[in-house]
Amino acid sequence: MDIDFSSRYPAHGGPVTPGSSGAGSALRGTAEAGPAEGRQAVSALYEAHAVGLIRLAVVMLGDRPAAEDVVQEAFCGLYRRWDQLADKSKALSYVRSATLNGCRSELRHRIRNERRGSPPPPVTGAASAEQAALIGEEHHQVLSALRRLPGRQREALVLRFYLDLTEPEIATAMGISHGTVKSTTSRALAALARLLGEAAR
Amino acid sequence: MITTGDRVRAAARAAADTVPPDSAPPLRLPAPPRRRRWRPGPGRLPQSLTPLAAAVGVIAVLAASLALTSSLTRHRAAPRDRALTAAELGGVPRYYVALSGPADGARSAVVRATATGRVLATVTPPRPYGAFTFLSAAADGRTFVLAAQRWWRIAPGTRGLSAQTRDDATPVAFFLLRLRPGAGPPRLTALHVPGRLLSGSLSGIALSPDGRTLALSVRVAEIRLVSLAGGPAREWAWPGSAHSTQEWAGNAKPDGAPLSWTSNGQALAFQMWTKSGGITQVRLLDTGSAGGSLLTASRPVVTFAPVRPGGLKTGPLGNTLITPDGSKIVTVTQLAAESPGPVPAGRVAEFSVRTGRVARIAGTGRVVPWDVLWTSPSGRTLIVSGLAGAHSARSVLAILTGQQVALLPGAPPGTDNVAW
Repeated sequence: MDIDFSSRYPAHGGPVTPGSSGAGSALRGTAEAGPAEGRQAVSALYEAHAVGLIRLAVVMLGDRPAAEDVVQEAFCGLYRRWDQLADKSKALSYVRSATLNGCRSELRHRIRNERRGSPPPPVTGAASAEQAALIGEEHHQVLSALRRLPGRQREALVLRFYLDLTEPEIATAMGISHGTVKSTTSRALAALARLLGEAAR
Repeated sequence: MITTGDRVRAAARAAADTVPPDSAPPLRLPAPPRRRRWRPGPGRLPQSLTPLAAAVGVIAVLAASLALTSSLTRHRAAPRDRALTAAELGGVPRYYVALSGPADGARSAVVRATATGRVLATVTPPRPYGAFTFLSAAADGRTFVLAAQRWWRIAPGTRGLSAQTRDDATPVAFFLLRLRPGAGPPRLTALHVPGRLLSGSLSGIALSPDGRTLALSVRVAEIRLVSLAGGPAREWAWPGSAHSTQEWAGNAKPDGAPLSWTSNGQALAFQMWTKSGGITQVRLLDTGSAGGSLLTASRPVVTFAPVRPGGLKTGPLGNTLITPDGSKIVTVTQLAAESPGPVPAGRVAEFSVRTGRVARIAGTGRVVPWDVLWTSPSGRTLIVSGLAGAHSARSVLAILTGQQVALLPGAPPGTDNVAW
């Protein structure tokens, strides 16, 4: 059985030089985690970042229940791989990428279903008429156009304009090169402008 | 002018705002992940190496068969190392860490199971450090501190002890090694130890039993206590410069463990050396004192008299450990003497801290003891390094419990830099 030394060292890991604090304060002090500590660390990370990631998934999917499922699965994946995660300070990056991957899978799943003739889920940007009303017609049009973009272009725009990530950060999150981020974002903006123009007409 | 990007930003935020703060559902984590076995190396071979691995496996099986046949037909094989029973282990921690590799080369830390000697993991110092030089363990048997330094090869023909073959001008780095049996491989983490310490200045380390404080033997004239939770270090220095006198505080031969804690962390035993006679005294430093003079903050508990006037001292061969309960000093004696004795030569002796006299001579069976590496709280169970076998040619680690001796299986040859 492992021994918990958390009471011996300060919460940030004490004398141990932690890596970058990309995971935020929620993860500090858990660099030496075993299974129990891993559960604790992942739970703390969820507490701190779940809403933000659900919001990201809602923007991507337009469907809150699906967004919650994707985020839940991303954190479960993080927990399952906790011991293999060499740099715990990158846990937030990991779970954000996992959320984006989950959104991609969900969208692919929807496309397959549409091709088979299944009715598509509501993509109104909210789970209820009330929420749709809250978003407003102008935003609704933009979100609808956004969701007509290819997945990669949609991701690039959401990461760029919703999360305000830099191009290198987007490249890391999407697993593509810096140059591809630039070209994808540029094409996505052009396509979106075209779609919005069509919508305006 | 509102750009398309601005419209995306506003729309995305409006959609995101439909998720109120604190509205995330509870996290439903699965059952704990299956525990991975400890493995020292990477888990899988690259595919291209599979045929090679198969060939090596066949050759290994053939070689093993030939060796076995030869052994059975020519002579009876020497008794194989066997796993020790719980009674033989006598409360010794389950794992130990030994520095492995040439004294004048790269040295890694090897984690082994005490009962079987099985190598559980090998940890190499992270770049740019090339060699671990000292190690020490906390009382939990899971927490270790390792000192590391860069190393460069000394020009051919350079001679001397290992102390002289190490580089002495690069900073020492300290690492925390945590064993996590059943939970993953050991984890090495850099420690922030305040103050710049050059490798040639360090002559020993000792981690306090609670793992909170690291004692450093510096320039064989100072003892420095560093809180691993941060805060200023405290230092005690022997009066005068160590090299201008004939006295050294701490061990100048870096294979030893010149510092040893009591379990309550209130006292630290250290060795006093003279250039002519080796260890002449074991002293106890009051670790609660404010720092300053090592002479006034410590008291002698065992004094080794010279065998003859001006001659060699009867002092220990190497380590002088204090039992965690603070009652005894344990060491391997160097020469026979009457004071503080009677002290036989080359035996594992326990000296009373209260009287400074011999309290017990431990039986070592056929093991010729070389050094004491670990002691149980009262000193009843000890681990020693030594020599055994025909012509005492085999390096061994042995557990001494009362008068019983059990060899640790699979112990690496010639290892003194070991910590439990």
